[in-house]
Amino acid sequence: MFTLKGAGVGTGVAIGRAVVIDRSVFDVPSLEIATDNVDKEVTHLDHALKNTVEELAAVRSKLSEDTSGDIAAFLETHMMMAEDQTLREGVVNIIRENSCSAESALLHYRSQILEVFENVEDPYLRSRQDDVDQVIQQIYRQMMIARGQLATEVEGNLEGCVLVAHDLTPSDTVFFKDYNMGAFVTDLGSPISHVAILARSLQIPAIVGLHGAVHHIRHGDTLVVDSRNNEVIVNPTDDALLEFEKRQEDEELRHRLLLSLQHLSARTTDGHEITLLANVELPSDIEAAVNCGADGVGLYRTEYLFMNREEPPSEEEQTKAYIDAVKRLRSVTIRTLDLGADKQVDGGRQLGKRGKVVTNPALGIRAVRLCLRHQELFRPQLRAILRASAYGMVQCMIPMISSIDEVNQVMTVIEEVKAELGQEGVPYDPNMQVGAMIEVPAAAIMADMFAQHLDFLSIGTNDLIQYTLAIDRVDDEVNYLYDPLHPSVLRLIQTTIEAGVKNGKSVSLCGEMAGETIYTRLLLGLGLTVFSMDSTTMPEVKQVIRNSDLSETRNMVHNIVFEANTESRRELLFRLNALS
Amino acid sequence: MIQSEIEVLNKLGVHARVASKLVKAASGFQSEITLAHGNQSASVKSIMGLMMLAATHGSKLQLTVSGEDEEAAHNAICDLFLKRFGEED
Repeated sequence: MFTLKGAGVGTGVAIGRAVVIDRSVFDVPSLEIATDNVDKEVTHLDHALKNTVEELAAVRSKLSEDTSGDIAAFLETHMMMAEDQTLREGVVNIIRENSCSAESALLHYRSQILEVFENVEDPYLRSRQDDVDQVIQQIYRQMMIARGQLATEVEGNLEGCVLVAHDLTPSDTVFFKDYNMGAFVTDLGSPISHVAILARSLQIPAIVGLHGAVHHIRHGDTLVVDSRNNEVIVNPTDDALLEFEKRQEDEELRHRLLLSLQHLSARTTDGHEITLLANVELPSDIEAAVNCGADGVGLYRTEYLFMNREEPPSEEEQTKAYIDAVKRLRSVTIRTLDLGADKQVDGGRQLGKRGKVVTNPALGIRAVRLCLRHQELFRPQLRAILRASAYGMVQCMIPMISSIDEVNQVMTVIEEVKAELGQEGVPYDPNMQVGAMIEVPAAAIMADMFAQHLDFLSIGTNDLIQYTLAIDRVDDEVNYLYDPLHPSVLRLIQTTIEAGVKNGKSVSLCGEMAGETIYTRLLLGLGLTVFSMDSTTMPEVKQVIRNSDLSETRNMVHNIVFEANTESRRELLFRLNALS
Repeated sequence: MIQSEIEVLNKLGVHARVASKLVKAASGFQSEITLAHGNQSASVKSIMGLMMLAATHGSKLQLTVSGEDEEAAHNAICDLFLKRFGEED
């Protein structure tokens, strides 16, 4: 048993027999031929080109209407390449100059082309060499078939099998679509390649970019393909296999639940509508947010843009990322940079370095404090968020606010940035809502004042708990004191929600608690109406909400908030959750 | 013969699918149509040639069209570039 890591795409866990297609090996010797046979080789080439075009056309004609338009476009592009005169002439010239076989001329041409692409600076255009290479491989395969050297690669019943290949062409993926394959594993490819698109549309798992898959996996091996954990387990032991079967069942259950709840509203049994929003940490989470039926994004974290790099991202780069999110979702709440404390990055470290050791970063210059001090970081981000607001519902959320002075300073900067954009004639939404994270106890205690100054509030329970209970989140020694049920925490959450209601401002909760089903009824009872969580947890939370009676919950939650004894509080919560 | 400078406006540059749209459009005309980028040039009827121009967003290309239907061909090609090949931003 061993494990290989790649990039997981698609959905679920598949267990199946490996079917390996090794097509990357070009092991044809450079065939020297007699000069009078040159014309024959050219004919051989033309024949292969024609067959490739026909093969692609046949696949295209078999596309069903529900196939993604992307695949049809890929096929058409590949046909055009196979018909391209530049390619044909290039290969013919090599055949004539070197008196070699069509196969070796094609391979020679391939290395010339790939070399040209390798020198292209733009990474996207450079990656397009994959398309060229796939077409060349297909032409090559046609040559081999014509020479009778290639038996049908795959035969027999493929249902549930795991296809392992160096790379798959769009026509391969369409071909295998009809075979009910269990999963795909490829050496090449990325989460945006067509193998990934196909895996998603078939709702099967795939691991792409698993370098050496073809090399390490043998025909007939038993494979576990786990897209969520980005891994392929080769020949698992019996015990391990049992565990993976369990994982597979869990995934299927989760998936069915997700599908069944996606289009249903999060309404309590007594008719209260609850808004469920998704948290987005990386651009790849956006799709999951769309798929889980979220009403929008309640927390779009921007740290990913700033991590693992020397220079902060430009205004343009940020604008592009934010616009992309806004276009795909009904509404997006973008949180300004929250760096410092446990989230250190290259850029952040440099900024924090003043020749002294920061002993308690959680209480130091982080989040809005960092942004107000380093406005060269803050202003481009605000400009980018405002620019994105011209494309849809955008809200701007400021983390770690602890005083009204900070609110005023932030508002001043936003007004200045708006004036700049106005002068430049750059469109933005002049009424873009601005809100704050309530995660410092000071802010929660005076939530009514914040509610008057801001458009909305969002409770960040992770930090609120750490600051309220004075326990360092990254210190294992005090971990036992971490208690979301602590009466102080519950009261601060309640105070904040009530302040919002009194002032007619929306209050959401975007910490881990929002996605943990044991707290769902508790939060409902505290009056929360907007939950923002990781998309993966949404179906379960939605299900709990749909099985809850709000008025009944409220009474029991009142008792929990006023119960001093920790054990008794847990017992009360257990009883609350046991209500049917 | 018509010559003009044309800017790549779409974000992803002249990649395979953009190139295929150009080839499709160009193939409908008699005229000889070429695009040059720096010291490289390619027939707009060749997808491989176009892809190897490595024209990224913001690149300035020289478009040359000559033949009986040069005006219509020139307009058609310029139009594709201007409309960013229907690509979303």
